[in-house]
Amino acid sequence: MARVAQIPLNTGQKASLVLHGGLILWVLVFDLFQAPDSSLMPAATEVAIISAQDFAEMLSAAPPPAPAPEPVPAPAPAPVPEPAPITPPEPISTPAPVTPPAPPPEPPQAAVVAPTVTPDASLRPVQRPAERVASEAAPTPTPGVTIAPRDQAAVAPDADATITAPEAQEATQREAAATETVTEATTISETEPARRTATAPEVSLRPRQRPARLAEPAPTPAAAAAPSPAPVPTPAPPQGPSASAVNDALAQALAGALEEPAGLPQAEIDGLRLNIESCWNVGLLSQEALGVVLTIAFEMTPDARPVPASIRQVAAQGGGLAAQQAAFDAGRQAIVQCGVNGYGLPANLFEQWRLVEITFNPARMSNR
Amino acid sequence: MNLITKAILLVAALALAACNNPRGGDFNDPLSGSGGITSSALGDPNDPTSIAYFNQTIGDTVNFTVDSSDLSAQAQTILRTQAVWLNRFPTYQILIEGHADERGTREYNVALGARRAARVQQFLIAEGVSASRIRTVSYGKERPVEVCAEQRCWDANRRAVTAVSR
Amino acid sequence: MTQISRRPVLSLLAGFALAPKVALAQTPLRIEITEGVIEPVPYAIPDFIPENSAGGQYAAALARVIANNLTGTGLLREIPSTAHIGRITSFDAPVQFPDWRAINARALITGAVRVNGQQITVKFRLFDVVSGQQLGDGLQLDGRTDAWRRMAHRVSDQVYQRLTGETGYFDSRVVFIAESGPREARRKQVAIMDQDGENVQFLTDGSALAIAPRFSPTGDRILFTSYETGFPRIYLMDVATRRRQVVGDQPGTMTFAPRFSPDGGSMIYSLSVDGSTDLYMLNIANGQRWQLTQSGAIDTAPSFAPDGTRIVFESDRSGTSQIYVMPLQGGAATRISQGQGRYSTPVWSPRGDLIAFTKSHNGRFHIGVMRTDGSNERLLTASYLDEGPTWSPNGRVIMFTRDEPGTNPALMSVDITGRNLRRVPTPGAASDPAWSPLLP
Repeated sequence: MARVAQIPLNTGQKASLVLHGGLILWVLVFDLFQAPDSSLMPAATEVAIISAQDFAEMLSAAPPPAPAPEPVPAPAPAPVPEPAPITPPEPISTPAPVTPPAPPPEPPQAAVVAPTVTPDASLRPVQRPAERVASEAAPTPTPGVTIAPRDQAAVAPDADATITAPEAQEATQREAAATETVTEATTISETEPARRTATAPEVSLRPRQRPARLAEPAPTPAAAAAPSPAPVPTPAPPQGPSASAVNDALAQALAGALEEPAGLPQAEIDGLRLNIESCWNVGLLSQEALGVVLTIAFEMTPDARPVPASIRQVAAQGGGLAAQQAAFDAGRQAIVQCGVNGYGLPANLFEQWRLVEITFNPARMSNR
Repeated sequence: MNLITKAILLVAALALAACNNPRGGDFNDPLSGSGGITSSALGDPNDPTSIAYFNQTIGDTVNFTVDSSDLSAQAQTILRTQAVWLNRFPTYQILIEGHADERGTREYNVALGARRAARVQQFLIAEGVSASRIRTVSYGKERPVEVCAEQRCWDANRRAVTAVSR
Repeated sequence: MTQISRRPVLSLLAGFALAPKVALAQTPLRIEITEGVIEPVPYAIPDFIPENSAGGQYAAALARVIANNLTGTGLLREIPSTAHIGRITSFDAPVQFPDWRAINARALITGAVRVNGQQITVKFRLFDVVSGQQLGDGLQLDGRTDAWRRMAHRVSDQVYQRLTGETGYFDSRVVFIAESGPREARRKQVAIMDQDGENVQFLTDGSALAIAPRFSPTGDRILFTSYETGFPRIYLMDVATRRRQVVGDQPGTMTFAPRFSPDGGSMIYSLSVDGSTDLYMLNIANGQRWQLTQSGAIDTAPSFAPDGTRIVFESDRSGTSQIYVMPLQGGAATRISQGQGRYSTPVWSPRGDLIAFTKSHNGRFHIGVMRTDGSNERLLTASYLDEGPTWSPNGRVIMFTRDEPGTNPALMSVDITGRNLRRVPTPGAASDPAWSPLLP
């Protein structure tokens, strides 16, 4: 495929090629493959893993703002197509010929993770101190046993008392996410014809909590006084490196002067948020990708549609490159998908929402 | 499944069918390994020196409760009778098979069967049977005598079988 | 980030010079999203484009294998070709995204195949239909025609990795026990197949009872327990040559429940003597052996942590089967299972963060996972008899044996979230699956 082949190889790709070549050679030379298969090894030609555009998007988060649309090819993220032959983590440290590990009820070394030590035979289960490592919500009371997310009613026939339902799903309007799960306890209905309708953008194209806009045509003084003109609780933008006292003073002065016309009503902000939430499908994301907190910036058209080309990652925390990439894709899809017909924001406040920065934080979704 | 596979299965099936006599057979026979199957050609059950007599009249099986290798009073009675017979006919070799019901995992059941077999072995030795005559094996849950998902079958399958051979 | 930090300054300057309103608007509207939805993502995968006539016979088959893999994850949902509006007629022609948006596809996979003699070339591309963008630049695979399924699995792994952010598990195999005959005299032979149930081959002939095969960390060897001599012994087999040898045998004992160390050079296993079952470790190359436990109880079903420093196993030293973790260097075993019931067959996940297990309680059997300190226990399944979990190479899926009354035992798989319980296709009754690593 000429077109693909023409793409110049960057360092990562070269490395990838070399490594693959080596791997294949290794396999061929040592015939590690079983005989019937050895010749079947498909030779993988790594063409490229990430598009230039993706690069641009990722790099836009990098230090220099460099508005250059097509930045220099960065080190390839090159997720090697097939994981290198699993290299065993260092040879086993030779365990001393364990003589009768007779009850030396000495306390465990620091390495032992579990808080409770039951050194040897005939120990009754010691009740574990209640220090859970878990940082997430939903500590279940009972023996610490939860059954994977599922309908409670469905659990009943199978499971016994000790099986408690997972964290009570918070009462959001969108319980779809959790009840979706059809697990064991329900039935073995092989293919769950998932509730595909739930996805539907149409369900929530209109912000749910939007106040009737007709009612308040323009930001009256009242509107300006509305709850919090300041956007969502987001960490304040870090001060510019050169931020001086003068700047601060200026900012304050300006902010004070401009306070009134500013306010995009909180309800509008909530509406936008709920809209995007309904399109943010994290079902595909790996556990690692669900640990990525990602900020995506984009611009809107005056009719409140996102400009696809403007969507870019401005910050990402946690996870490896592949995980961040998947997380970004999911976030971008949410923004575009739910904005196809416009987000219906008040046109007279265009400047308030022309630029949007969304931080996707899946922490609460990760313990699905 | 292709023809070759079928052929292999058929041949293997015939091979297996030819050797389903582990209790009476020599347990060193490499083809033995399908324990717990009753079989014929063991002699006349009315002949008190025959294997058939041992299996049927004396009783070759003792049963256990869940996860246990404790010998009940009834089991001990059977084993004492076994020991008397085995001591009377010292030329018989003895293989004790330990078994478990299906309500446990595979590996655990192998270990549990081993524990049951060992318990019977120790009892017989204590009753005077020469240790050199006895070997033990565990089949875990691989060789049930009864197949059903009921208490009756589980009870029957938790067992140790004393298999004698010449 | 720099943009964030710079913008206020810029906007202030601009604002000072121009209209104040504009200046303030330069600050983006900031929103945090913490709630989303979890749903299978709809995707489309039209038949691949045959780039020559010989490629024709693989064009649909490749797409089907890939679709079967992807849909089988439960994370994606295929939009059937009958619903497609758009047609892919050339691999390199621009995709008409509106056609795919119209059927609500989020992802689109296109591919092409060319066959020259025994050589097959497969290419694919992945698109984000919503954003109208290609994800990555695609991949080309070259190989022999009889490896076409593996190529489809490779493509599946690529797509999976790009969409989920973690490596896939499709180009892998499973060893298991193929069962036949009456339960009282079951024939059990070691068999191997592709992860999707294809290419089944028997590795033993069934003349001797065989149980619980396990893959080496590189997938080229297996360990299993066979009653070939009438007594359970451990065999090591080279998958390619089918050559095998007894390992760890000690006359007068029974050996079983073997598992490789992460470096493949050693195995840990159970040895029973006089009714006591303890754990041992054996250097396969030189036969050196260490006894790891001596509790007088049943210590079995050991499994290594991926870093090789610790093992997890089951023991009934407390009276019932429970799960213990023990440093390999020596030191006390720590009980980690704390719930009610009996816990068995712990298996450390390839990612190292979880331990899968079998639990029986109140007459039901479950497959579950817990953290390595025993916390956060979650049960994923329930039935009359579920047992013997094994991890997919990426730690996302668990396969196990389900044996319910009135039916044959079967292999099942379930996502570690508890979703997507499925039966793994096998030609007949099957049990004791063990998942290989991704093939090299």
